[in-house]
Amino acid sequence: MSAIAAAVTAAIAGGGGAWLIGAARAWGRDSGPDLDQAAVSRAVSAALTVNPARGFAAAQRIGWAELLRRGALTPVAPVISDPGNPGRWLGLFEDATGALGMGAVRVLIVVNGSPKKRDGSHTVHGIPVPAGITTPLEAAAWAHDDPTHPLRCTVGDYVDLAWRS
Amino acid sequence: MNTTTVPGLRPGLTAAGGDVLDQLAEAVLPVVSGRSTAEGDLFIQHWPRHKATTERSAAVKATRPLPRAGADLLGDGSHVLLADGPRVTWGGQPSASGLTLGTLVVGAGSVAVLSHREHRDLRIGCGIYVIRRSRWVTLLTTSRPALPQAEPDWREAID
Repeated sequence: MSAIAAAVTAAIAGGGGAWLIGAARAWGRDSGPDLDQAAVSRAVSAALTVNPARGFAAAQRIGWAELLRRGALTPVAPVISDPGNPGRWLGLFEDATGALGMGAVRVLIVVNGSPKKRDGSHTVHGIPVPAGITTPLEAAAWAHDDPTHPLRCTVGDYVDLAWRS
Repeated sequence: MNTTTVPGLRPGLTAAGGDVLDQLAEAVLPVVSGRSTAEGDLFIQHWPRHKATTERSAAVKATRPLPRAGADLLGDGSHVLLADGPRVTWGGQPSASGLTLGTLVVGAGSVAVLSHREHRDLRIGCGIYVIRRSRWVTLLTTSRPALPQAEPDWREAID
């Protein structure tokens, strides 16, 4: 097991969220041959099982784009153009292999409309949605809906979106 | 490399490939009226006249003019709602889930400005809107172990 994977495992055992995030960030930077990435994946998986909020934060640090490149996520439906964000896309993915321990949660991958201030790049975000959701638009509408309010957010409402930052 | 001199900026300031011009274009923010927008973790949903009319009317009547300092929507300074003009009212009316924060009313000729710490400001024009938080936050926190509490403030241990 690599030092980073060991650190992640120790962080989970000790409940150290900051360590986990730091280790995940380090993993994102380090792609050296001695890195036991499978062990890190298992560690992140364990984190997601124990505490999804922390696990999602770790995945965010690693980078959803990086996870997609590594084939860690499987598309549920075709990727579509984001109605509120011309030139960007929406994708709905699941952890079909269980490598990330996301379980019943699927993830809507979106690209921020606002670039980062310093370098102009856009951030890729992962938004967890329930497993029953089958399309990116459904997922986006769900993310902005409030079932306890008289005004609901439907797929049509999201399609009519003027802007998403 | 192409350079562009930008009129109105300090002498000598040029931009490669029009970067500065692009930034200036972004700085001139359009006003979005009568449509929904998503800003960071918040969703500003336009509430048209024909939807949930009774509740809409009650929500509008419960709004009050925004104070000069604005409304700190999430209580952490990350999203502050400000009025640019006299006809901007806000009613903090949380829904049962806590996702919806309240109702925003913007009259003709006025603009509400949602200032966000990480994104560019959003200028909201004439219309009635609800402002709510993204729902995914609840998916990760409901029925799950709570995140560990922050460590006690070390300053409180000093006699």
